[in-house]
Amino acid sequence: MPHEAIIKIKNLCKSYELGDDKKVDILKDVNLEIDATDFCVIVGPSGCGKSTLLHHIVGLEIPTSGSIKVRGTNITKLKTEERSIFRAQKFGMVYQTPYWAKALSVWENVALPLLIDGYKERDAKQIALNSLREIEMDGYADKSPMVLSGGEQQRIGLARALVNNPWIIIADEPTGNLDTHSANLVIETLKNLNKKSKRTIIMVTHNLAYLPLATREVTMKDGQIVSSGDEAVKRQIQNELRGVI
Amino acid sequence: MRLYTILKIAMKNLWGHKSRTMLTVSGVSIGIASIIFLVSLGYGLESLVTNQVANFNAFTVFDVSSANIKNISIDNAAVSKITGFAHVSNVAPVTSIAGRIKKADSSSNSETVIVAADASYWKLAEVMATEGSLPTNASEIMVNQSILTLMGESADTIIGKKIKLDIIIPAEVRTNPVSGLKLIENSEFTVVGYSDSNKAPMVFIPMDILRLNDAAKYSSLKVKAESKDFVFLLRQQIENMGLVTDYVGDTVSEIQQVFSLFRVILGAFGLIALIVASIGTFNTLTISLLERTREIGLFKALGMRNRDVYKLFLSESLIIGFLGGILGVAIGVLAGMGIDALIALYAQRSGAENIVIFDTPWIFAAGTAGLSLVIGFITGWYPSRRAVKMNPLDALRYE
Repeated sequence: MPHEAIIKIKNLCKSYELGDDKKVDILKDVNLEIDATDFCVIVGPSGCGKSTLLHHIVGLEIPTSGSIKVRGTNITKLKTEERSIFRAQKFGMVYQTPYWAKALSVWENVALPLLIDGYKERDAKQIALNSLREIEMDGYADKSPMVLSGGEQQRIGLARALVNNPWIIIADEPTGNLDTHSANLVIETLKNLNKKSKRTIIMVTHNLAYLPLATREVTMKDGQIVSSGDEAVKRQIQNELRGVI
Repeated sequence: MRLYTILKIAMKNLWGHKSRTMLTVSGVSIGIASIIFLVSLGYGLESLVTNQVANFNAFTVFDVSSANIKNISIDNAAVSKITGFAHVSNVAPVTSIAGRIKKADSSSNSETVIVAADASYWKLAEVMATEGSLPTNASEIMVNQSILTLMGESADTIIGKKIKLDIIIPAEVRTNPVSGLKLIENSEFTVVGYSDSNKAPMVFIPMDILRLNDAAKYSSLKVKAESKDFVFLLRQQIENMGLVTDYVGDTVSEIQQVFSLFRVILGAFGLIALIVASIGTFNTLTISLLERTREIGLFKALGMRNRDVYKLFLSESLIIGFLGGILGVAIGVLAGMGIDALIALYAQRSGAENIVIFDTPWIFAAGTAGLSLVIGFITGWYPSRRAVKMNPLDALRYE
């Protein structure tokens, strides 16, 4: 079966002007292709540009130069509103700290991407409940997400990421704030989504224990992707990360 | 995003902060209620005064008098001419002269005003007999309360009594003024009615008594137009004859002008309360925005469009404005009704005439409720714009 690149990143650069003609380069000439079947794990030390790369992929940030194509759509060329719609329909996102609309219940929070996309409430609720059932959290549907534990919240966050049946699930340190048991549950869910539901997963993590899950491993340092042949640098970064953990 | 969903989320957000929402809505409703209450008082007092000055029919009637009191020019020819004008429905003359009144069996007399007119005048001037009837022939008269007091009589005893009048007909009202003043002394009349008016002592006599005594010039006329719309034109025509007109509508217009100013002043007091409430609403919405910065980041990261973010925040302020408006109008109107009810109770207990001092025209109530929505829009606009301009990543990172 031929590999199908769902994401193609070419010469992506991002820099910020700090005034006094000073410039900080966050991403430097990043080139990356991710296949539709990939479980891509991005590792690297703090400040290496992992999260910034994710934000560019989902269109929350605009690069200084370069392009990002998602199934052929160059999202850097889309207008703000078009990017919002694209993000709402094609991506599911899981954050290190789950964010909630506090006044809404669990199912309403899970249904948010659908409601934002213009679904009728009745239809959105049905899909949200199915999504919660998929991760065995449907019993929490009418509770406030604020009363749930960190692990439960993260799994609800996963349900929300799945609800709009996205092509790609972006997970930014999804286990960063969780105990081992909860973290394992979240990782297990992501694994199943990749294997059984055939979703592309792009996960940023500090935890090297998750590297064996990766069908595509990306190591970043100083805004650049360390080339696959540069084993010495990779080992050095991994040793640094092990030291942190 | 569907408007229904936006409104539902806005309602849930407001409901999620019940105390804060209720206090904010209360602030707006107190401001709106103040305006409704105070301006309704202005409207009520205006109606009260206007109704005291004139009833609805009075707006089709105006008075005509001579420009020079020493040279009365309203005679039968003038009456005929005015009657002939288009859109005149009735013309009724009246003559007021001086006289003396005494009981038939007494020699002491009292000064009085004698008002002579025909039945049509009594009707237009709304002169009515409280008991008995108005005089219909040359031997009958009606007296008022002040006459009863002067003569030591009561309403029960006066009707049917014979009294004597000295009627002093001045030269000015006589057909031929050169013939001079005419004094009719000790004419005997029967009192057929009494009016409870207690202004100056007054005797009401039929105009025929004067006509029989060669007095066919009149102090003034009441002219009734077919409708209010013709009054202006008729007054012009009559003033072109060298006569002077006096219309209750002029007085009412002046009263209305005074009360318009009064209402503006009262409304301004209410507006101060509303401005204070608006600042409170603005403050609440801004705090709510800051508290929900990460939520805005979430909405945007999940793909919510800027116009939907704008609608969501604006909906919350509009809901506050809407609820505040409805509640404020209800409180303002009920407070006015409550005070009117207390006045009615007091009037009933003390036997005084009941008065209504609050009047809320529905268009004013609707306008004020609309003003509350405008306040909601104004106070919500800035926080909504801020929410729209937020960068989703900065918003998500907001601590």
